[in-house]
Amino acid sequence: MMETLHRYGPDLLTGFGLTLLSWALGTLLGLVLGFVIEIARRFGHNLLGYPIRAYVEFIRGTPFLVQLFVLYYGGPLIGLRLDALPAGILGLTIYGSAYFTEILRAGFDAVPLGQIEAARAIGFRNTTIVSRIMVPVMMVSALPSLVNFAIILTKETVILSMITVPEIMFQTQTMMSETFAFVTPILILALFFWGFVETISRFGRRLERRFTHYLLDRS
Amino acid sequence: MTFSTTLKSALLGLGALALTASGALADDLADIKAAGTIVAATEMHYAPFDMLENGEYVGFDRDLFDEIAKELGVAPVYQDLPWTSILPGLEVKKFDFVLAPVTMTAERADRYSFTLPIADATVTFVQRKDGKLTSPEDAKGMTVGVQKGTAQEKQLEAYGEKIGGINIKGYGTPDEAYADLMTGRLDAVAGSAPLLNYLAKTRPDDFAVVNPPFGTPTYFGFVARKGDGDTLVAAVNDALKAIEADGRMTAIQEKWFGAATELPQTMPEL
Repeated sequence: MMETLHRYGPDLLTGFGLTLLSWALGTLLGLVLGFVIEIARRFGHNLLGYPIRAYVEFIRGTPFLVQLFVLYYGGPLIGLRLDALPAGILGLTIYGSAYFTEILRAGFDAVPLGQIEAARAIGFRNTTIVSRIMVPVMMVSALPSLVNFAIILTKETVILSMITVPEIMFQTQTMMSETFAFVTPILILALFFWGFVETISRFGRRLERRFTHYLLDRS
Repeated sequence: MTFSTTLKSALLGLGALALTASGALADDLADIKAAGTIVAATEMHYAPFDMLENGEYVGFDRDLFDEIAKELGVAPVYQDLPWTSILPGLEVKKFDFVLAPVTMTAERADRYSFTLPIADATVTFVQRKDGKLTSPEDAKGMTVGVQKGTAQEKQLEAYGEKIGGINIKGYGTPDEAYADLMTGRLDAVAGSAPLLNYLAKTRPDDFAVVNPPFGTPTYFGFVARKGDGDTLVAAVNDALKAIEADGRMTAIQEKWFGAATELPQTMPEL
Protein backbone atom coordinates (compact mmCIF):
# COMPACT_ATOMS: atom_id res chain seq x y z
CA MET A 1 0.00 0.00 0.00
CA MET A 2 2.73 2.49 1.01
CA GLU A 3 4.70 1.39 -2.01
CA THR A 4 1.71 2.00 -4.28
CA LEU A 5 1.20 5.45 -2.78
CA HIS A 6 4.87 6.19 -3.26
CA ARG A 7 4.71 5.05 -6.87
CA TYR A 8 1.45 6.81 -7.81
CA GLY A 9 1.34 9.67 -5.28
CA PRO A 10 3.08 12.24 -7.49
CA ASP A 11 0.96 11.34 -10.53
CA LEU A 12 -2.22 11.53 -8.47
CA LEU A 13 -1.17 14.94 -7.12
CA THR A 14 -0.54 16.39 -10.58
CA GLY A 15 -3.88 14.83 -11.56
CA PHE A 16 -5.57 16.68 -8.64
CA GLY A 17 -3.85 19.86 -9.77
CA LEU A 18 -5.03 19.56 -13.37
CA THR A 19 -8.58 18.76 -12.25
CA LEU A 20 -8.62 21.84 -10.02
CA LEU A 21 -7.09 24.01 -12.72
CA SER A 22 -9.47 22.96 -15.47
CA TRP A 23 -12.47 23.28 -13.16
CA ALA A 24 -11.45 26.74 -11.87
CA LEU A 25 -10.66 28.14 -15.31
CA GLY A 26 -13.63 26.46 -16.98
CA THR A 27 -16.06 27.77 -14.35
CA LEU A 28 -14.62 31.27 -14.23
CA LEU A 29 -14.40 31.71 -17.99
CA GLY A 30 -17.77 30.03 -18.44
CA LEU A 31 -19.32 32.47 -15.98
CA VAL A 32 -17.71 35.44 -17.74
CA LEU A 33 -18.81 34.21 -21.18
CA GLY A 34 -22.29 33.45 -19.86
CA PHE A 35 -22.50 36.96 -18.40
CA VAL A 36 -21.36 38.56 -21.67
CA ILE A 37 -23.92 36.53 -23.61
CA GLU A 38 -26.70 37.51 -21.22
CA ILE A 39 -25.78 41.21 -21.38
CA ALA A 40 -25.66 41.01 -25.18
CA ARG A 41 -29.08 39.37 -25.22
CA ARG A 42 -30.55 41.95 -22.83
CA PHE A 43 -29.01 45.15 -24.17
CA GLY A 44 -27.83 44.22 -27.65
CA HIS A 45 -29.65 44.30 -30.97
CA ASN A 46 -32.82 42.25 -31.20
CA LEU A 47 -31.34 40.13 -33.99
CA LEU A 48 -28.75 38.79 -31.52
CA GLY A 49 -31.50 36.90 -29.75
CA TYR A 50 -31.76 34.13 -32.35
CA PRO A 51 -28.11 33.02 -32.59
CA ILE A 52 -27.80 33.20 -28.80
CA ARG A 53 -30.89 31.06 -28.37
CA ALA A 54 -29.56 28.56 -30.90
CA TYR A 55 -26.19 28.46 -29.11
CA VAL A 56 -27.75 27.87 -25.70
CA GLU A 57 -30.12 25.20 -26.97
CA PHE A 58 -27.39 23.41 -28.91
CA ILE A 59 -25.01 23.29 -25.95
CA ARG A 60 -27.73 22.25 -23.54
CA GLY A 61 -29.10 19.74 -26.01
CA THR A 62 -25.91 17.75 -26.60
CA PRO A 63 -23.77 15.69 -24.20
CA PHE A 64 -20.56 17.29 -22.96
CA LEU A 65 -18.52 14.32 -24.18
CA VAL A 66 -19.83 14.83 -27.71
CA GLN A 67 -19.00 18.54 -27.63
CA LEU A 68 -15.52 17.77 -26.41
CA PHE A 69 -14.89 15.20 -29.15
CA VAL A 70 -16.16 17.63 -31.80
CA LEU A 71 -13.86 20.32 -30.45
CA TYR A 72 -10.80 18.09 -30.07
CA TYR A 73 -11.02 15.80 -33.10
CA GLY A 74 -13.17 18.01 -35.35
CA GLY A 75 -11.42 21.31 -34.56
CA PRO A 76 -8.24 20.49 -36.56
CA LEU A 77 -10.38 20.08 -39.70
CA ILE A 78 -11.14 23.81 -39.55
CA GLY A 79 -7.64 24.73 -38.41
CA LEU A 80 -8.29 24.81 -34.65
CA ARG A 81 -5.66 22.43 -33.36
CA LEU A 82 -5.64 22.78 -29.57
CA ASP A 83 -3.67 20.65 -27.16
CA ALA A 84 -5.70 18.45 -24.84
CA LEU A 85 -5.71 20.75 -21.78
CA PRO A 86 -6.64 24.00 -23.58
CA ALA A 87 -9.27 22.08 -25.56
CA GLY A 88 -10.66 20.71 -22.29
CA ILE A 89 -10.79 24.11 -20.62
CA LEU A 90 -12.38 25.69 -23.69
CA GLY A 91 -14.91 22.84 -23.78
CA LEU A 92 -15.84 23.39 -20.11
CA THR A 93 -16.08 27.15 -20.74
CA ILE A 94 -18.48 26.73 -23.65
CA TYR A 95 -20.52 24.08 -21.86
CA GLY A 96 -20.72 26.16 -18.68
CA SER A 97 -21.54 29.42 -20.45
CA ALA A 98 -24.83 28.09 -21.86
CA TYR A 99 -26.08 27.08 -18.41
CA PHE A 100 -24.69 30.12 -16.62
CA THR A 101 -26.33 32.47 -19.10
CA GLU A 102 -29.72 30.86 -18.43
CA ILE A 103 -29.23 31.12 -14.66
CA LEU A 104 -28.27 34.76 -15.03
CA ARG A 105 -31.26 35.43 -17.30
CA ALA A 106 -33.66 34.10 -14.67
CA GLY A 107 -31.80 36.08 -12.01
CA PHE A 108 -31.97 39.35 -13.94
CA ASP A 109 -35.64 38.76 -14.73
CA ALA A 110 -36.29 38.66 -11.02
CA VAL A 111 -34.88 42.14 -10.43
CA PRO A 112 -37.89 44.42 -9.75
CA LEU A 113 -38.45 46.65 -12.78
CA GLY A 114 -39.21 49.59 -10.49
CA GLN A 115 -35.65 49.65 -9.21
CA ILE A 116 -34.25 49.80 -12.74
CA GLU A 117 -36.73 52.50 -13.76
CA ALA A 118 -35.89 54.51 -10.67
CA ALA A 119 -32.18 54.26 -11.46
CA ARG A 120 -32.82 55.35 -15.03
CA ALA A 121 -34.97 58.24 -13.84
CA ILE A 122 -32.13 59.65 -11.77
CA GLY A 123 -29.76 59.33 -14.72
CA PHE A 124 -27.83 56.08 -14.13
CA ARG A 125 -26.09 54.73 -17.21
CA ASN A 126 -26.72 51.17 -18.35
CA THR A 127 -23.32 50.02 -17.07
CA THR A 128 -23.98 51.51 -13.66
CA ILE A 129 -27.46 50.03 -13.56
CA VAL A 130 -25.99 46.61 -14.25
CA SER A 131 -23.14 46.85 -11.78
CA ARG A 132 -24.88 48.70 -8.94
CA ILE A 133 -28.48 47.53 -9.17
CA MET A 134 -28.97 44.44 -11.32
CA VAL A 135 -25.97 42.32 -10.34
CA PRO A 136 -26.29 42.75 -6.54
CA VAL A 137 -30.04 42.12 -6.58
CA MET A 138 -29.74 39.24 -9.06
CA MET A 139 -27.08 37.56 -6.92
CA VAL A 140 -29.55 37.06 -4.07
CA SER A 141 -31.73 34.77 -6.12
CA ALA A 142 -29.19 33.36 -8.60
CA LEU A 143 -26.24 32.57 -6.37
CA PRO A 144 -27.45 29.17 -5.12
CA SER A 145 -28.04 28.06 -8.73
CA LEU A 146 -24.66 29.38 -9.82
CA VAL A 147 -22.88 27.48 -7.04
CA ASN A 148 -24.94 24.42 -7.86
CA PHE A 149 -23.83 24.50 -11.47
CA ALA A 150 -20.21 25.09 -10.47
CA ILE A 151 -20.53 21.86 -8.45
CA ILE A 152 -21.94 20.01 -11.45
CA LEU A 153 -18.95 21.21 -13.47
CA THR A 154 -16.49 19.63 -11.00
CA LYS A 155 -17.81 16.25 -12.03
CA GLU A 156 -17.79 17.01 -15.74
CA THR A 157 -14.01 17.46 -15.52
CA VAL A 158 -13.51 13.69 -15.43
CA ILE A 159 -14.67 13.59 -19.07
CA LEU A 160 -11.48 15.47 -19.97
CA SER A 161 -9.66 12.17 -19.41
CA MET A 162 -11.29 10.96 -22.64
CA ILE A 163 -9.28 13.45 -24.68
CA THR A 164 -6.02 12.51 -22.89
CA VAL A 165 -5.91 15.32 -20.30
CA PRO A 166 -3.93 13.59 -17.51
CA GLU A 167 -6.32 14.75 -14.75
CA ILE A 168 -7.33 12.74 -11.71
CA MET A 169 -9.61 10.25 -13.51
CA PHE A 170 -6.93 9.56 -16.10
CA GLN A 171 -4.31 8.94 -13.39
CA THR A 172 -6.70 6.75 -11.43
CA GLN A 173 -7.38 4.61 -14.49
CA THR A 174 -3.67 4.25 -15.16
CA MET A 175 -3.16 3.21 -11.55
CA MET A 176 -6.00 0.69 -11.79
CA SER A 177 -4.77 -0.95 -14.94
CA GLU A 178 -1.23 -1.22 -13.65
CA THR A 179 -1.90 -2.45 -10.13
CA PHE A 180 -5.10 -4.44 -10.84
CA ALA A 181 -6.53 -2.80 -7.73
CA PHE A 182 -9.88 -1.44 -8.83
CA VAL A 183 -11.92 -0.52 -5.80
CA THR A 184 -9.42 1.46 -3.70
CA PRO A 185 -8.40 3.95 -6.42
CA ILE A 186 -12.04 4.63 -7.31
CA LEU A 187 -12.91 5.15 -3.63
CA ILE A 188 -10.00 7.57 -3.27
CA LEU A 189 -11.28 9.39 -6.34
CA ALA A 190 -14.79 9.56 -4.89
CA LEU A 191 -13.47 10.91 -1.58
CA PHE A 192 -11.46 13.53 -3.42
CA PHE A 193 -14.52 14.77 -5.28
CA TRP A 194 -16.61 14.74 -2.15
CA GLY A 195 -14.08 16.91 -0.33
CA PHE A 196 -13.73 19.15 -3.36
CA VAL A 197 -17.50 19.70 -3.67
CA GLU A 198 -17.90 20.19 0.09
CA THR A 199 -15.31 22.96 -0.03
CA ILE A 200 -17.10 24.68 -2.90
CA SER A 201 -20.50 24.50 -1.23
CA ARG A 202 -19.11 25.92 2.02
CA PHE A 203 -17.56 28.75 0.06
CA GLY A 204 -20.88 29.19 -1.75
CA ARG A 205 -22.81 29.50 1.52
CA ARG A 206 -20.36 32.12 2.73
CA LEU A 207 -20.86 34.08 -0.49
CA GLU A 208 -24.63 33.80 -0.11
CA ARG A 209 -24.44 35.23 3.37
CA ARG A 210 -22.43 38.10 2.03
CA PHE A 211 -24.85 38.92 -0.75
CA THR A 212 -27.92 38.69 1.48
CA HIS A 213 -26.40 40.49 4.41
CA TYR A 214 -28.44 43.63 3.85
CA LEU A 215 -31.65 41.60 4.00
CA LEU A 216 -30.68 40.03 7.31
CA ASP A 217 -29.71 43.40 8.81
CA ARG A 218 -33.13 44.82 8.18
CA SER A 219 -35.11 42.04 9.72
CA MET B 1 -53.76 -16.79 -0.18
CA THR B 2 -52.48 -16.07 -3.65
CA PHE B 3 -50.28 -13.35 -2.28
CA SER B 4 -48.69 -15.54 0.37
CA THR B 5 -48.10 -18.31 -2.20
CA THR B 6 -46.43 -15.83 -4.50
CA LEU B 7 -44.36 -14.61 -1.60
CA LYS B 8 -43.38 -18.15 -0.65
CA SER B 9 -42.38 -19.10 -4.17
CA ALA B 10 -40.45 -15.87 -4.49
CA LEU B 11 -38.57 -16.64 -1.30
CA LEU B 12 -37.93 -20.18 -2.50
CA GLY B 13 -36.67 -18.79 -5.77
CA LEU B 14 -34.35 -16.43 -3.94
CA GLY B 15 -33.08 -19.29 -1.85
CA ALA B 16 -32.42 -21.37 -4.96
CA LEU B 17 -30.62 -18.41 -6.53
CA ALA B 18 -28.45 -18.02 -3.47
CA LEU B 19 -27.59 -21.71 -3.63
CA THR B 20 -26.59 -21.57 -7.29
CA ALA B 21 -24.66 -18.36 -6.62
CA SER B 22 -22.61 -19.99 -3.90
CA GLY B 23 -22.14 -23.02 -6.13
CA ALA B 24 -20.76 -20.65 -8.81
CA LEU B 25 -17.70 -20.00 -6.71
CA ALA B 26 -16.31 -23.39 -7.51
CA ASP B 27 -16.12 -24.11 -11.21
CA ASP B 28 -16.83 -21.71 -14.08
CA LEU B 29 -16.83 -24.45 -16.73
CA ALA B 30 -19.53 -26.47 -14.96
CA ASP B 31 -21.69 -23.34 -14.58
CA ILE B 32 -21.29 -22.42 -18.24
CA LYS B 33 -22.20 -25.91 -19.35
CA ALA B 34 -25.22 -25.88 -17.03
CA ALA B 35 -26.35 -22.50 -18.37
CA GLY B 36 -25.65 -23.50 -21.98
CA THR B 37 -24.17 -20.05 -22.68
CA ILE B 38 -20.82 -18.40 -22.15
CA VAL B 39 -20.72 -14.64 -21.70
CA ALA B 40 -17.55 -13.21 -23.25
CA ALA B 41 -16.59 -9.53 -23.06
CA THR B 42 -14.37 -7.51 -25.35
CA GLU B 43 -13.91 -3.97 -26.57
CA MET B 44 -15.29 -3.92 -30.09
CA HIS B 45 -12.89 -1.23 -31.30
CA TYR B 46 -9.80 -3.31 -31.83
CA ALA B 47 -9.68 -4.17 -35.51
CA PRO B 48 -9.06 -6.77 -36.87
CA PHE B 49 -9.60 -8.68 -33.63
CA ASP B 50 -12.81 -7.07 -32.53
CA MET B 51 -14.89 -4.56 -34.44
CA LEU B 52 -18.39 -3.52 -35.31
CA GLU B 53 -19.56 -3.61 -38.92
CA ASN B 54 -23.02 -2.13 -39.44
CA GLY B 55 -23.67 -2.74 -35.78
CA GLU B 56 -22.66 -6.38 -35.91
CA TYR B 57 -19.74 -7.77 -33.96
CA VAL B 58 -17.13 -9.26 -36.32
CA GLY B 59 -13.40 -9.96 -36.35
CA PHE B 60 -10.72 -12.53 -35.71
CA ASP B 61 -11.81 -13.08 -32.11
CA ARG B 62 -15.44 -13.51 -33.12
CA ASP B 63 -14.67 -16.19 -35.71
CA LEU B 64 -12.26 -17.94 -33.39
CA PHE B 65 -14.57 -17.87 -30.42
CA ASP B 66 -17.57 -19.08 -32.41
CA GLU B 67 -15.45 -22.19 -33.10
CA ILE B 68 -14.30 -22.45 -29.47
CA ALA B 69 -17.89 -22.22 -28.23
CA LYS B 70 -18.85 -24.95 -30.72
CA GLU B 71 -16.09 -27.16 -29.27
CA LEU B 72 -17.34 -26.42 -25.75
CA GLY B 73 -20.92 -27.12 -26.78
CA VAL B 74 -22.33 -23.81 -25.53
CA ALA B 75 -23.79 -20.70 -27.16
CA PRO B 76 -21.60 -17.57 -27.03
CA VAL B 77 -23.00 -14.23 -25.80
CA TYR B 78 -20.84 -11.21 -26.67
CA GLN B 79 -20.56 -8.03 -24.59
CA ASP B 80 -18.95 -4.76 -25.65
CA LEU B 81 -17.10 -2.94 -22.84
CA PRO B 82 -14.34 -0.31 -22.72
CA TRP B 83 -10.95 -1.92 -22.20
CA THR B 84 -10.38 -0.20 -18.85
CA SER B 85 -13.44 -1.92 -17.36
CA ILE B 86 -12.85 -5.38 -18.79
CA LEU B 87 -10.37 -6.83 -16.28
CA PRO B 88 -12.23 -5.31 -13.28
CA GLY B 89 -15.49 -6.69 -14.71
CA LEU B 90 -14.02 -10.17 -14.95
CA GLU B 91 -12.96 -10.08 -11.31
CA VAL B 92 -16.42 -9.16 -10.09
CA LYS B 93 -18.03 -11.81 -12.34
CA LYS B 94 -19.93 -9.55 -14.72
CA PHE B 95 -19.10 -12.11 -17.41
CA ASP B 96 -17.26 -15.43 -17.76
CA PHE B 97 -14.44 -14.81 -20.16
CA VAL B 98 -12.30 -12.02 -21.60
CA LEU B 99 -12.41 -12.31 -25.36
CA ALA B 100 -10.29 -9.20 -25.89
CA PRO B 101 -6.76 -10.06 -26.96
CA VAL B 102 -4.85 -9.60 -23.68
CA THR B 103 -1.09 -9.22 -23.99
CA MET B 104 0.60 -11.88 -21.89
CA THR B 105 2.68 -10.36 -19.12
CA ALA B 106 4.06 -11.88 -15.94
CA GLU B 107 2.08 -9.41 -13.76
CA ARG B 108 -1.19 -10.33 -15.43
CA ALA B 109 -0.43 -14.06 -15.34
CA ASP B 110 -0.11 -13.76 -11.54
CA ARG B 111 -3.64 -12.47 -11.38
CA TYR B 112 -5.52 -14.07 -14.27
CA SER B 113 -5.58 -17.40 -16.04
CA PHE B 114 -4.32 -17.11 -19.63
CA THR B 115 -5.24 -19.37 -22.53
CA LEU B 116 -2.64 -20.47 -25.06
CA PRO B 117 -1.45 -17.67 -27.39
CA ILE B 118 -4.03 -16.64 -29.98
CA ALA B 119 -1.93 -14.10 -31.88
CA ASP B 120 1.37 -12.25 -32.07
CA ALA B 121 1.44 -9.05 -29.99
CA THR B 122 4.89 -7.60 -30.67
CA VAL B 123 4.79 -3.81 -30.56
CA THR B 124 5.50 -1.56 -33.51
CA PHE B 125 4.85 2.01 -34.70
CA VAL B 126 2.44 3.33 -37.29
CA GLN B 127 2.73 6.83 -38.72
CA ARG B 128 0.99 9.02 -41.27
CA LYS B 129 1.89 8.05 -44.79
CA ASP B 130 4.01 11.21 -45.13
CA GLY B 131 5.60 10.61 -41.68
CA LYS B 132 9.26 11.20 -40.84
CA LEU B 133 10.19 7.89 -39.18
CA THR B 134 12.43 5.58 -41.17
CA SER B 135 13.24 3.30 -38.22
CA PRO B 136 11.83 2.94 -34.69
CA GLU B 137 14.83 4.83 -33.20
CA ASP B 138 13.64 8.01 -34.98
CA ALA B 139 10.83 8.22 -32.44
CA LYS B 140 13.25 9.85 -30.00
CA GLY B 141 11.82 13.19 -28.86
CA MET B 142 8.59 12.69 -30.79
CA THR B 143 5.02 12.51 -29.52
CA VAL B 144 3.59 9.00 -29.67
CA GLY B 145 0.07 7.87 -28.81
CA VAL B 146 -0.87 4.53 -27.29
CA GLN B 147 -3.92 2.93 -25.70
CA LYS B 148 -3.93 3.69 -22.00
CA GLY B 149 -3.42 0.89 -19.47
CA THR B 150 -2.08 -1.63 -21.99
CA ALA B 151 1.05 -3.77 -22.11
CA GLN B 152 1.95 -1.84 -25.28
CA GLU B 153 2.04 1.35 -23.22
CA LYS B 154 4.56 -0.22 -20.83
CA GLN B 155 6.74 -1.44 -23.67
CA LEU B 156 6.61 2.01 -25.22
CA GLU B 157 7.67 3.59 -21.92
CA ALA B 158 10.57 1.17 -21.64
CA TYR B 159 11.60 1.80 -25.23
CA GLY B 160 11.40 5.56 -24.68
CA GLU B 161 13.81 5.30 -21.77
CA LYS B 162 16.12 3.19 -23.89
CA ILE B 163 16.36 5.56 -26.85
CA GLY B 164 16.38 8.77 -24.80
CA GLY B 165 12.86 10.05 -24.41
CA ILE B 166 9.49 9.74 -26.12
CA ASN B 167 6.59 12.02 -25.27
CA ILE B 168 3.76 9.54 -24.60
CA LYS B 169 0.02 10.27 -24.72
CA GLY B 170 -2.53 7.73 -23.48
CA TYR B 171 -5.90 7.19 -25.24
CA GLY B 172 -9.08 5.33 -24.33
CA THR B 173 -9.21 3.27 -27.54
CA PRO B 174 -6.70 2.83 -30.40
CA ASP B 175 -9.24 4.48 -32.74
CA GLU B 176 -8.88 7.78 -30.88
CA ALA B 177 -5.10 7.58 -31.12
CA TYR B 178 -5.32 7.02 -34.90
CA ALA B 179 -7.69 9.99 -35.15
CA ASP B 180 -5.19 12.16 -33.32
CA LEU B 181 -2.40 10.88 -35.56
CA MET B 182 -4.43 12.19 -38.50
CA THR B 183 -4.98 15.59 -36.84
CA GLY B 184 -1.20 15.92 -36.60
CA ARG B 185 -1.00 16.06 -32.79
CA LEU B 186 0.91 12.78 -32.83
CA ASP B 187 3.95 11.70 -34.81
CA ALA B 188 3.23 8.00 -34.42
CA VAL B 189 1.04 5.47 -32.60
CA ALA B 190 2.42 2.38 -30.89
CA GLY B 191 0.45 -0.86 -30.98
CA SER B 192 0.71 -4.55 -31.62
CA ALA B 193 1.84 -5.59 -35.10
CA PRO B 194 -1.33 -7.36 -36.33
CA LEU B 195 -3.45 -4.38 -35.34
CA LEU B 196 -1.29 -1.80 -37.09
CA ASN B 197 -0.66 -3.94 -40.18
CA TYR B 198 -4.41 -4.27 -40.57
CA LEU B 199 -4.84 -0.50 -40.17
CA ALA B 200 -2.20 0.27 -42.80
CA LYS B 201 -3.69 -2.34 -45.12
CA THR B 202 -7.25 -1.00 -44.88
CA ARG B 203 -6.23 2.69 -45.07
CA PRO B 204 -3.06 2.71 -47.19
CA ASP B 205 -3.51 6.38 -48.18
CA ASP B 206 -3.38 7.51 -44.54
CA PHE B 207 -1.06 5.21 -42.61
CA ALA B 208 2.23 3.35 -42.94
CA VAL B 209 3.80 0.88 -40.50
CA VAL B 210 7.36 1.58 -39.33
CA ASN B 211 9.44 -1.58 -39.64
CA PRO B 212 10.89 -3.46 -37.85
CA PRO B 213 8.79 -3.82 -34.64
CA PHE B 214 10.63 -2.33 -31.64
CA GLY B 215 9.17 -4.44 -28.84
CA THR B 216 10.28 -7.79 -27.50
CA PRO B 217 8.28 -10.73 -28.93
CA THR B 218 5.02 -11.08 -27.01
CA TYR B 219 1.70 -12.86 -27.52
CA PHE B 220 -1.99 -12.24 -27.03
CA GLY B 221 -4.10 -14.68 -25.07
CA PHE B 222 -7.65 -14.76 -23.77
CA VAL B 223 -8.23 -14.59 -20.05
CA ALA B 224 -10.46 -16.15 -17.39
CA ARG B 225 -10.58 -15.84 -13.62
CA LYS B 226 -7.73 -17.44 -11.77
CA GLY B 227 -8.87 -20.47 -9.78
CA ASP B 228 -12.57 -20.62 -10.72
CA GLY B 229 -11.76 -20.26 -14.40
CA ASP B 230 -8.91 -22.78 -14.60
CA THR B 231 -11.16 -25.61 -15.84
CA LEU B 232 -12.60 -23.24 -18.42
CA VAL B 233 -9.12 -22.27 -19.64
CA ALA B 234 -8.15 -25.95 -19.92
CA ALA B 235 -11.25 -26.61 -22.03
CA VAL B 236 -10.57 -23.55 -24.22
CA ASN B 237 -6.97 -24.69 -24.70
CA ASP B 238 -8.17 -28.11 -25.85
CA ALA B 239 -10.54 -26.36 -28.24
CA LEU B 240 -7.72 -24.13 -29.53
CA LYS B 241 -5.53 -27.16 -30.19
CA ALA B 242 -8.34 -28.88 -32.09
CA ILE B 243 -8.98 -25.71 -34.12
CA GLU B 244 -5.26 -25.41 -34.90
CA ALA B 245 -4.94 -29.11 -35.80
CA ASP B 246 -7.72 -29.24 -38.40
CA GLY B 247 -6.70 -26.03 -40.18
CA ARG B 248 -9.55 -23.81 -38.99
CA MET B 249 -7.04 -21.51 -37.25
CA THR B 250 -5.09 -21.01 -40.48
CA ALA B 251 -8.28 -20.14 -42.33
CA ILE B 252 -9.31 -17.55 -39.71
CA GLN B 253 -5.80 -16.05 -39.64
CA GLU B 254 -5.71 -15.73 -43.41
CA LYS B 255 -9.14 -14.16 -43.43
CA TRP B 256 -8.28 -11.42 -40.92
CA PHE B 257 -4.48 -10.98 -40.99
CA GLY B 258 -3.90 -11.78 -44.66
CA ALA B 259 -1.36 -14.47 -43.74
CA ALA B 260 -1.11 -17.45 -41.43
CA THR B 261 1.41 -17.41 -38.58
CA GLU B 262 2.48 -20.29 -36.41
CA LEU B 263 1.67 -19.89 -32.74
CA PRO B 264 3.33 -21.65 -29.78
CA GLN B 265 1.30 -24.68 -28.71
CA THR B 266 2.61 -24.38 -25.14
CA MET B 267 2.56 -21.45 -22.74
CA PRO B 268 5.42 -19.06 -23.60
CA GLU B 269 7.91 -17.96 -20.94
CA LEU B 270 6.83 -14.64 -19.44
